[in-house]
Amino acid sequence: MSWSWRRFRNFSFAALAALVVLAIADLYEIMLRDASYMDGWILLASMVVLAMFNARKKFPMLPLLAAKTWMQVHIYVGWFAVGVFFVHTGLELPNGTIETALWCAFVAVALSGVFGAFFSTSAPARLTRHGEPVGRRRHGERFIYERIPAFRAEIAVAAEELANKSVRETKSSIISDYYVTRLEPFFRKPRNVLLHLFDSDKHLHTLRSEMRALERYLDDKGRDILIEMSQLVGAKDNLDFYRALQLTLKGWLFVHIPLTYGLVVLVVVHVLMVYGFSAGAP
Amino acid sequence: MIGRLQRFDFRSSPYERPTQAWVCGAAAGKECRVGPDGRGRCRATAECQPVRTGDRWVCTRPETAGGKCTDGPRPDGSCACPIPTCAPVPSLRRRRHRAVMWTVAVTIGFLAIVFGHAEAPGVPEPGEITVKHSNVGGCDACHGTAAEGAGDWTVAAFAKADPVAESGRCLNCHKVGSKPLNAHGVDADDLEKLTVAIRERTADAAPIPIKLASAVFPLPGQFDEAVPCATCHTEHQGPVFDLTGMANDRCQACHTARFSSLSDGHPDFADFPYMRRTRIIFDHNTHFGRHFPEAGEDKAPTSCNACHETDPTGTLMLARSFASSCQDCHIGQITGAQRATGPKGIGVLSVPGLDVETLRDRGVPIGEWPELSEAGIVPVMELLLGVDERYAEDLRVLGSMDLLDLVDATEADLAAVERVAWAVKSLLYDLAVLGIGDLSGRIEDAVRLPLDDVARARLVASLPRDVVVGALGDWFPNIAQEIRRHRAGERIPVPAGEDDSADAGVQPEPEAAAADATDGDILGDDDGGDILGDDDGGDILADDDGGDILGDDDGGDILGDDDGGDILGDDDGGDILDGDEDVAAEEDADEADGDEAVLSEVDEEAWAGLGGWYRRDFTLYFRPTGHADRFIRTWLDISAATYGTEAEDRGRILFTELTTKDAPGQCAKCHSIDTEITGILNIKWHPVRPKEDRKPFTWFPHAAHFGMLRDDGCLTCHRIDPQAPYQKSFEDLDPTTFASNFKPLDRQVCVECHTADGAGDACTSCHNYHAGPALPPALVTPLPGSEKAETKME
Repeated sequence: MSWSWRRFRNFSFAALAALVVLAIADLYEIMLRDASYMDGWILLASMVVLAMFNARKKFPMLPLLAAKTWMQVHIYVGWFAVGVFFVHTGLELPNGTIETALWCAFVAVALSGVFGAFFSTSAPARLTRHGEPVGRRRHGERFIYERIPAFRAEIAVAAEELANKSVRETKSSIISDYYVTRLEPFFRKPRNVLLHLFDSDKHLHTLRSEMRALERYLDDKGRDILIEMSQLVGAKDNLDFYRALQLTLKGWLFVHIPLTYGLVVLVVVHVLMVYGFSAGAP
Repeated sequence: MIGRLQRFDFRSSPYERPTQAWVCGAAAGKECRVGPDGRGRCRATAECQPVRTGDRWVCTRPETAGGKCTDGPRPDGSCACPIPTCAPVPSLRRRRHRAVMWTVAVTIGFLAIVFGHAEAPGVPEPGEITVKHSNVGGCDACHGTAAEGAGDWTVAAFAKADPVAESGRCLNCHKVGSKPLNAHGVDADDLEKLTVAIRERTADAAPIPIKLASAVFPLPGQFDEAVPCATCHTEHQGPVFDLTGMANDRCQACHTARFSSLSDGHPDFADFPYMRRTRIIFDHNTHFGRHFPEAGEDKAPTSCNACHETDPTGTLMLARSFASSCQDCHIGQITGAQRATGPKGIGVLSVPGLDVETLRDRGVPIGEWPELSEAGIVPVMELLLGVDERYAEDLRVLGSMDLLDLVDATEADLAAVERVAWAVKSLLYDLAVLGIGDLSGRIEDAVRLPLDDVARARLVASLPRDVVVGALGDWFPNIAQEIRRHRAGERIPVPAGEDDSADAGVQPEPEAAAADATDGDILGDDDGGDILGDDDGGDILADDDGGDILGDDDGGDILGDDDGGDILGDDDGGDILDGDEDVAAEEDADEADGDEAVLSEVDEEAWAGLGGWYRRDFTLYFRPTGHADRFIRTWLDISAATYGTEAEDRGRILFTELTTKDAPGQCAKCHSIDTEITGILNIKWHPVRPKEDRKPFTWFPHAAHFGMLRDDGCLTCHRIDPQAPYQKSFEDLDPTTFASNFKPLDRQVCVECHTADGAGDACTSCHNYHAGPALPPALVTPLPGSEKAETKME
């Protein structure tokens, strides 16, 4: 079974389940009952299932299926919850203060989850393509996120030494001047996060074009140093790419998880209010 | 060429611990391998802990940190490579945890602000309420659980809901009948009957979703099951939300006759809107086919608008007034101007014709009675006389007799005649003496209904006293004397007839009889000096011996026919105007006779052409003054109201008389009569009128459709049915028996526009759920200065 077929099947199951809830809610409404209670509880139950993924991660020692399985359950139950949410809210914008906050929180959690699901699926392949070459292996080795700053610092030091070397060996300040004006800021800190997220290497082409333009003013030694400098630029840019993607992979959870907790608080208040004021509802 | 940056061998690859809360704060690539403790404090001391080997201290710095240092440990065994301290920084995990805490805190703070700024204590609004409800007050106006604030509704969240009780708060303002929470506000028994009836005549053509819903989530099915307001009306959906909006499917949750849409399965209109017969009997067929052509273009209308107009809301089509629609042709039938035979007024009081000769011969003591009367006992008088059970029985006896031929009557029959005769006289006498107040009292007794002053006044129609007195003077000149003697227990024989009086010389002529009275009552039966008194005083017309002006005594009266020398006397004296000699006097006498003749030739009925009281022969009539004559209408109303009561027998005679085809006024010709559930009859004086305090189950805004009518206009929907027995359907007095002049409405005409994609086919477009009383909220305003008002001002 291919990955895409499995994804299609799981998504279809989730969508079908949401449609079933929609149909039941419609039948419920036809018979003069308030379906909000029914689909509301289904939504809450699905949210509990989604939250259990985080709880499962806190107890890795327990034999409760593989994290990979939990992740799949989380993704497709999440899609189901999105469907039930629209059944519950009727595709209408809320107009109460708490309801608006609740709506916004759910939508933000859902959108961040959808983004996370897509990005978590697409980023690993991109990271692998940009991995550090190891021997004859087809794919390079991924950088560990926590080590990237050290590698970037290492490359920055090497670049600075190479610039000094160019002065000593070529008796020319062409490379060093270029380093000072253009490359030192590039090596100093992470750059071009957005461009890397969108898989753009326009910035890299620009730098390399500029460096190629310097070749005509350099002798052979200078050209060799320039080639070496270009390799450092490429390595640093690769680290920037890794950092950008891995930062995003970790960063979307800064939206998804905190908002989930906020959403839980709002849901509790919402349920209490609904039942506290629902004495008139059949 | 640069080498590999990342290595994973144990010598060059430090162990990463991303789950730790704190990480080293040193510059990138300079992190110490010790790292901060769990509370974020730097633990940096030295790069290794030298160990003593023999007498030497040996560096223990691992390969991952660069291996043994060149300087080695100090002589005291301490490391010569101290690690610079740093300010540890939180790890990503720690930062995310902080973000979670902040988010929860912000959420709780947000809730605190929302709850703190709510109008009612601790109750934030889940959404704006509609404009119509914006002034109902705080949350507790609708939510009982909100009375005491957040504590209350939090507790209520775990209590059992009572939607029926909560609906009571809606009903504080919304008055929707006596069974507000019943389906459609209809009594459960009535609802069951309706449902059973519909179930018998319709097939269930419910679409699949509705069938499925019924199967999966069946309703309780009890006809008295309360339907809380919130079943259909959901608030807090915004200021302009349509609270009365209702999905078509939901209507069919309860309904027996279920279908997909107006165009697919909706029952044909059958008898709608002709379920109830028209209040005004107007046969469109006969008018269109016969009456209008006969009336000609001057009188006949040329369009429906001539007789119909919309109500102010444009909903109902109403009939225009009598004056603008019917009067030109029908007023003469009401006033009697077009009546060729029969009286044009209603006989109210009469002296029934009796076989006086037989009564006289057989010694029935009824006193004086006009021999020439051939009148019957008019229904009004029969009603009034029938109050007394004795007379009621006598009237029944008399009803089977020919009162003008009593030769074969038994003694019992004659006794009945006697009692009725005296009852008639008493009635007339009391009316003359006690006034119309007595008459209205008798009416009230007769119909057994409490009448207000307005009704009493209308029932007697300002009957002038002179009319009564004048009639009595002609019919019973000595009635006062006779009544007095009769009530004293005296038997008063029938006076001798004209022929007999000549023989016996004892029975005075009516004129002479007038002078027999000795009292001074209205008609002079006392001893005082009354105008017509036969006393001994000097009255003007008395035949006493005094010197009265018109006396036939022997004195020298001015007009006396005595032998004295009176001015106008026809005696033998040498009077100034003596007829033998004075031609002028003769001519004057001829002129006087001619004037009398002119007066006697006046037709009393014609004289009252504009309506009112008149007397003809021995009956007192009232002629209708025009359309909606209050006298006739009130008599019809009270006689109709006797049906189903103990007074029905008396009322029926009058009601039947007043509603015959030829009855004066011909009210029942056009005004239909309904039998109410209590048995009383209800005359429909007015055509249908919009009832602002009632909502029908089905409504149709006529004016909104005028613009899209075809050339046929009203006939687009209302097609004449020439075969319908319209008039016949009014005979049984049952308003539900009706054969309309029009064919049933064609549903397809509506479907041409009213589809889901066209003009809409919502059930609520034409049907009201809350049919019946629709009373506005009661408004009680204390008067300025009243105690309540003062309290409010304080």
